[in-house]
Amino acid sequence: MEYLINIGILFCIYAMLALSLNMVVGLSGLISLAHAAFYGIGAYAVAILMTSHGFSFWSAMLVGVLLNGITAFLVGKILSKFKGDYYAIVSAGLSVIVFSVLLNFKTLTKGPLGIYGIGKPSILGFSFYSSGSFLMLALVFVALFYALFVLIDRSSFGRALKGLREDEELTVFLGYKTDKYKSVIFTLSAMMAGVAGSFFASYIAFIDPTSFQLAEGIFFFTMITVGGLSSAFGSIVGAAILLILPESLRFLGLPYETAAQLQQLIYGALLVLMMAFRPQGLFGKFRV
Amino acid sequence: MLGASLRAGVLAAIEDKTKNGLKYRYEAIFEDNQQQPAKSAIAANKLIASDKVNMLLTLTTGSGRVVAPIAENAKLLHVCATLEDENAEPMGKTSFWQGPTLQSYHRTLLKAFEKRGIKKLALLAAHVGVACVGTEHLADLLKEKGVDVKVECFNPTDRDFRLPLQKYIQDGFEYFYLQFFPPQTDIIVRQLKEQNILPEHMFGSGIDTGTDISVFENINHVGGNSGSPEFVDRLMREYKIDNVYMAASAYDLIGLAIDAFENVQDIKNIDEITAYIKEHATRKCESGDCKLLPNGFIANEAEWRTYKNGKPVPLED
Repeated sequence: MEYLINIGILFCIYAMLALSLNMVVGLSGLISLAHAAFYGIGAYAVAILMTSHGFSFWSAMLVGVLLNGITAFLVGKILSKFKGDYYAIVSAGLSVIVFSVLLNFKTLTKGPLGIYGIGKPSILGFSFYSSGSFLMLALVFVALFYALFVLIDRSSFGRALKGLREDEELTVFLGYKTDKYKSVIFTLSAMMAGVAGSFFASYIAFIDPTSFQLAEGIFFFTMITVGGLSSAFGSIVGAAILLILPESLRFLGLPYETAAQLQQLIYGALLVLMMAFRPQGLFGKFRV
Repeated sequence: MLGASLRAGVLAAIEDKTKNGLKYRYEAIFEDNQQQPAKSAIAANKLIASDKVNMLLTLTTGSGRVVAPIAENAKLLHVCATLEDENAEPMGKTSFWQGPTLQSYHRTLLKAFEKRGIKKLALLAAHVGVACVGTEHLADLLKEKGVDVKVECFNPTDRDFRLPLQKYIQDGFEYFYLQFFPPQTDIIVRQLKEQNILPEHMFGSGIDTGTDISVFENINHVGGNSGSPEFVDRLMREYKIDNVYMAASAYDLIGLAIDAFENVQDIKNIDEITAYIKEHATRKCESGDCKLLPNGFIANEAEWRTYKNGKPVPLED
């Protein structure tokens, strides 16, 4: 049971990331690879403020989210000038910059040694120390993120984002300031990724820069591509598949010498098949 | 790669301890964490919940720091084979870690460099864990001794070092200290050889993690202690492994844990188990003399050695 609860916690963290990323990629059609950077900033804010400055989880998370908001707003101003592949490349650049800062700004982040001893959240004296209570808290945030996604999807703001996704020039012609829309959704998504990062740092209790590399950003992108772009439910399903599938392969009893390689081979083959036969993802409403 | 040597050390310890019959039957279950914190947590929880293990063993401090609180929460013994600063903070109440200390690495290296009269040295490391930080510390110590040093830490995904190496050679560097992990270890040594740098001019730490040991022939290095030549021979032969990185530490840790389980009244009583380990950790180990430090680190003095005919051979200096 404890194992399943722990899988559940990681699923919630990935679901938060998938939902937030799908707002940018799915709703707006902006291929962002910067999500690992915002995930990392959120995680490091909690880790540094809780371990070195005595902040509570919630106040540290708030600082991380605000920091992400400011960073994303400023970066979003630059990013909103780009579209398509160029947007992806510039956002990947941001991810690389943040990773390098986490790795090299040793006085603040402790570099490759990482930060350990990160505490758990508590509310009014109740600590979410047990895995079960932590899972419940994470589920609440997943539900909130899900609701926010659906709300945006059905709002006039969401319709403008979809217009931007389908035909940016036409949307501009209709009087929408697409740069503003791009910047707002990117900032909101980054702030949500910061929440996911805060949960990750608190759950794992140890973080180092390896968890926030560009490859992680590509992994999050894969989650929403498999689950389905522009779909809140697809984001959840994608996160579940990409977390549970490799885990289930642990129980196949593969020989030790080849287990890791075989797991990756099966995993890769399934993704290839998925993209070949259902490129829009399982519940996707849009394909890149 | 790294896991194979650790696995051999674990299996050898179980085999040796159970040879004469014991109270309990011991079985090792291996899970790959791909050196990622999230996967370490999942793997540890799976082993505890699904496989009902009585103890956990990890490799490297990063994985150990993730698993330590999980083990403590589950009231389980956790041991970790690693290289660490002897003053590092404890991992957790139920965790013990073993390996050479960073300080002993540096002592051994400084002595070796001094003996060879090296006055100019390039220190190249992977930007992972303690590798880069430790190398920078080593550089400070060398500078204090008047050695002209230059440090560079490379991204763990870097594979082509030829241009930076050519620059170092052009700047008059003839000696190179390397601290990398596979596959970078093999690659940088091959690329140094391409630039006609002799193995005798290369020094390493983590060299013993390489995948093709023949590449490291005659390279002097300090490392995760290998154990006696007989132990190395046996592991390479019986478990068909090509390097013995941390195998002796894993062998010692598992052996100590088995002794604890066999001698305590209740194998579910973590306080009794940790008390036994604290009492018996300072002893003669396969990886050298083991000494328990107050932070739970079972420290060895680092070993200076070379590779001859594909096997680690201890060196006097």
